Amino acid sequence: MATIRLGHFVTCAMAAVSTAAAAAEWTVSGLIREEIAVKMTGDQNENNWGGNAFNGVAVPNTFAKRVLGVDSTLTRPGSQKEKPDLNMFATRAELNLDGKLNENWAAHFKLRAFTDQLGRVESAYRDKNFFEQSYGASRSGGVLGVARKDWMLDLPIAYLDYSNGPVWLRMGNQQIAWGEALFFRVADMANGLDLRRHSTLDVAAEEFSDKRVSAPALRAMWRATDSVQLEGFAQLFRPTVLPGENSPYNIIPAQFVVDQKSGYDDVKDKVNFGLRMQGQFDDVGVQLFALRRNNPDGVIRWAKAQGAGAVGDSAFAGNSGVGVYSAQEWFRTASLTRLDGLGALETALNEFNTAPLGATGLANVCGASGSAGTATQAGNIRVDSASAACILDGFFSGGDLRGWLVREYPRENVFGFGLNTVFNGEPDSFLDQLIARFELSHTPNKKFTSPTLSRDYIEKDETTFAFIFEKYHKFSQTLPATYMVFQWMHKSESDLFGRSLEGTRNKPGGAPKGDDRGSNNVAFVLQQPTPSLEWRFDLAALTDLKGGWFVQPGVKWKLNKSAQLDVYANYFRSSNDGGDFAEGLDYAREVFVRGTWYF
Amino acid sequence: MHIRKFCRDYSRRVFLENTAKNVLRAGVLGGAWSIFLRTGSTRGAYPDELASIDMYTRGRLKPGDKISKDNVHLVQDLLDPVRAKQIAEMGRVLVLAPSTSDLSRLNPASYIEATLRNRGEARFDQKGNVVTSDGRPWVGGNPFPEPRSAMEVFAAHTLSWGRHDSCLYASKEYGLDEEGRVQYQYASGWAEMASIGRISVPPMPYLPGREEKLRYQSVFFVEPGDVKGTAYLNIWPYDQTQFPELFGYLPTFKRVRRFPTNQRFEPLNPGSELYLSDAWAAGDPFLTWGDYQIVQRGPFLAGLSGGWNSRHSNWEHTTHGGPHGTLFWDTAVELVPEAIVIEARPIGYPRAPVSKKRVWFDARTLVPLAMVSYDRRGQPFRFFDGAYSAYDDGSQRVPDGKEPYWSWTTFHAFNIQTGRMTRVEQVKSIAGGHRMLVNDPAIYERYLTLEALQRLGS
Repeated sequence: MATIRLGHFVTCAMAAVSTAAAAAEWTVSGLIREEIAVKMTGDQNENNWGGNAFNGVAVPNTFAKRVLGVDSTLTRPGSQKEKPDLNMFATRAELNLDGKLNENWAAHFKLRAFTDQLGRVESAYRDKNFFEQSYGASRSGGVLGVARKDWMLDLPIAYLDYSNGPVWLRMGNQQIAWGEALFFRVADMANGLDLRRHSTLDVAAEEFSDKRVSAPALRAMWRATDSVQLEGFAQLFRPTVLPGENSPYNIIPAQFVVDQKSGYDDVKDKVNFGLRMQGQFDDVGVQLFALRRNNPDGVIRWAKAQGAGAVGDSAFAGNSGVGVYSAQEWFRTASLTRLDGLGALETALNEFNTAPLGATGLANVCGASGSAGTATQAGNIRVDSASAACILDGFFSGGDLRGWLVREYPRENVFGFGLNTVFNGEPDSFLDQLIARFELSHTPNKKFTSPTLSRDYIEKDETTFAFIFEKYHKFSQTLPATYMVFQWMHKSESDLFGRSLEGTRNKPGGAPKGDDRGSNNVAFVLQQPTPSLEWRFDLAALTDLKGGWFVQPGVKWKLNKSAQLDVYANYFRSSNDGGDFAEGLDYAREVFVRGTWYF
Repeated sequence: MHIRKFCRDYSRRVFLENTAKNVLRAGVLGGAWSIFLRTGSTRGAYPDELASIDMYTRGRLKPGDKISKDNVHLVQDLLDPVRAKQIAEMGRVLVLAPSTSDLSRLNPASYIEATLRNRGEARFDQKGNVVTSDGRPWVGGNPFPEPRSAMEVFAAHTLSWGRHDSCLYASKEYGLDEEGRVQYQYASGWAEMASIGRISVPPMPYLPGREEKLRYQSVFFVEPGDVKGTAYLNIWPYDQTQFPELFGYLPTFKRVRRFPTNQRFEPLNPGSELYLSDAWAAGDPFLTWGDYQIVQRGPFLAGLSGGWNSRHSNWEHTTHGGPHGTLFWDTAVELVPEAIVIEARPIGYPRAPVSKKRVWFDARTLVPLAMVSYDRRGQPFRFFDGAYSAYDDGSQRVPDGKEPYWSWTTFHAFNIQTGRMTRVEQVKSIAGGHRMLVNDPAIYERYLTLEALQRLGS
């Protein structure tokens, strides 16, 4: 009976919406954009086969020297080396369809098409997969989309709005953005990010509007009083979508295979929930929020290798030609990704049935103690730098190995609050109309990827907070006000990218020293428009105070009602000592140009 | 019979004498409001010379004639210098309309009724805010219909920009470059709602619990695509020494955030010559400006009737002038018997690009007719002139309760120094199905709350 009633209700609702849609006023708008990023450096993305620093480099085989007493080398094939000059050669089209169905109902859709034809102009990217995922509808990684190697098409907006007095509902595929901070995601926790389209390196002032992963949701807001609003949502979980293997902005070393589908299948039907209260009390804006979600960024651990080439029950597959070739390469890769090169080896030997592969013997001849894992018992091999190098080179003497990883999405609760106020001072003094914001989120028992890639994830309470100061200040009477933002974000357990700080202070060949003081990131943004606003000059800078810098100067030119040209540069600088966020990102020093035609 | 005593010089003399005595009350032969009360018209407050353009020009011009470069010298003293130059050098043409003396065609009837009902009740408190005789926020209508100071003129107008309790103006904006080409185009909605001084929509005269606020005002853009979804909400405190609170939804941020509000001297969009400060010639809290002074009084040509283009299905207007015929709105103007010209300086904005503004008000209604702002060197910077109308042209009518809707129809914002022009027109509806509304209780929920900003965003 209930089913019949529900069916009847749905039918009536559909009929009502259909009738309204037929009578609606629809508007169509959109854009076509060319986006090109040109490298300013010869540095290549070391996460890709072509950019691997060890391509064609012979390194000593420490196993041969230590165990056999022979001088020999291991060499990753130089033929893999590629030196592309471009990072992006893309075309984007967006089509918006907005309809007012009646005074209470509205419908909104956005169709987004994006193709990166870099593979046609750079041999390094020929036939590489930029967009297609192993999970999600039509291999899109999301819900409403389709993706193939060099293009993707999706509906990031497909929702109905209902408003009636103090009640507002939004139903359908949508982004949900909360928070005071810009770019720093303290309260902006509802959605993961889609990193396939120019990673997060677009115009900093655009934040994540093109990046947040949309998902079906019911979002409701109720204005309890003139100054207090309550909001809640229930949204289907969808993960952060990573750039494709060997794509220009790939963040996972391509010598490793990441099984993203298994973890996704486990939680693809999970629903995230969020509650928020916002209020204005005198001069102070307040928000309290809580979320229960699966962490869209996920955590990663070793997984048993699958398919042809799988080496026994281990986490490795052999002779792919594109795996790791030497201990030095292993250590360098581990250091760049803030993993523990020694601990990851131990875990790979101890948490998998590697004893039948002779791992115990190899470890022992290389000077390491303990036994490798068996089918029934975890191993206890302990290595130091020398023995780890020896063991690894011992394996690699038989050829390259690809490590297998699996990505999982733990459930977690997030609680937080935010405050803002506007200072008043002497007219045009620096304090006058300065907006100060603070927000904090706390995630109890948050799971982090262990630098050892163990299945025992690191579990710690993480507190993240940010101070934000925003100011429009007029430095001259002839120019419009300069918009300035200063932000400081502190994270107690992870770095800017959410990696556990146990993996930081990480030099190749050793275990990371870690950092228990938390991470700090400071950002500064300037925007200076010209008097007519036709031109806007931007400068964004970010540092982790540990030698990592990102600087993005740029200019936006609105030529006329239909055309816009953006020219920006991305500049990274790292101290290259295993402790800052910019290490390994030199390849993304680039100038990117976007020409947009709006209709 | 023409009584020579009341010739043009007589009127000029009276204007000078009244100005010197700080008597700003409209009317030469008597108080315009008193005469309106007795006769239903302000006609009797002025001599014949100020009653019609043909009398003023001694028959050389009459309603229906066009003012162009060929005859602009005939009305030179009825024009501000900028329009005179636009006509003489830039091809602007004005069409003359009969003068309107029925106040109910020059302001909403409900506003006039409230003005009469509450006459004599207003005063300034110690801070300079307008209050009733017993110290409460203003209760509706014009608090100073017969002003005694320039400050009273500005205070009255700032309290009620549009003379309605609430409005949604659907508008289209055209940004023209120096060559007169339409370079930018925007479509937007501008919503206003008074929380005090309410005269038409219950609860009146105050919204309970919001007596410390003056108005809610939002602007949102629906076209073009790059600004679509951008929306701002200003919440004005009643205390005019304070800046409004400003909240904004920017499509790039996907959320409503609080913004500073003192940067009121820059355009909202590329190519626009409109600043927040320019709204209704009184876009800032009136106590953040100062040195209010009357600098001139006299007759003036302004668009007070016939500006509503009901013939177009969306009320869109026609243009002329410039190399592409798109530089100026086609505008009908009439002889306004008495305009009060007031100057003020932005005392709360040390780095404003504006050193002062000069505003022409219709002395009868205190509606702003034109404005020139001056740069920091004292040079004319930007010029604004608007047109108003009762939305009733005899064949079609837009109702505001029982009376026709009264509002602005078009205006120009012209950068005198660069030659760039922004034209804005009020239309029936804009993309997204947003239609002009007046005194509709739904305006608040639809356009003036934080969740409305989020909903209007994209």
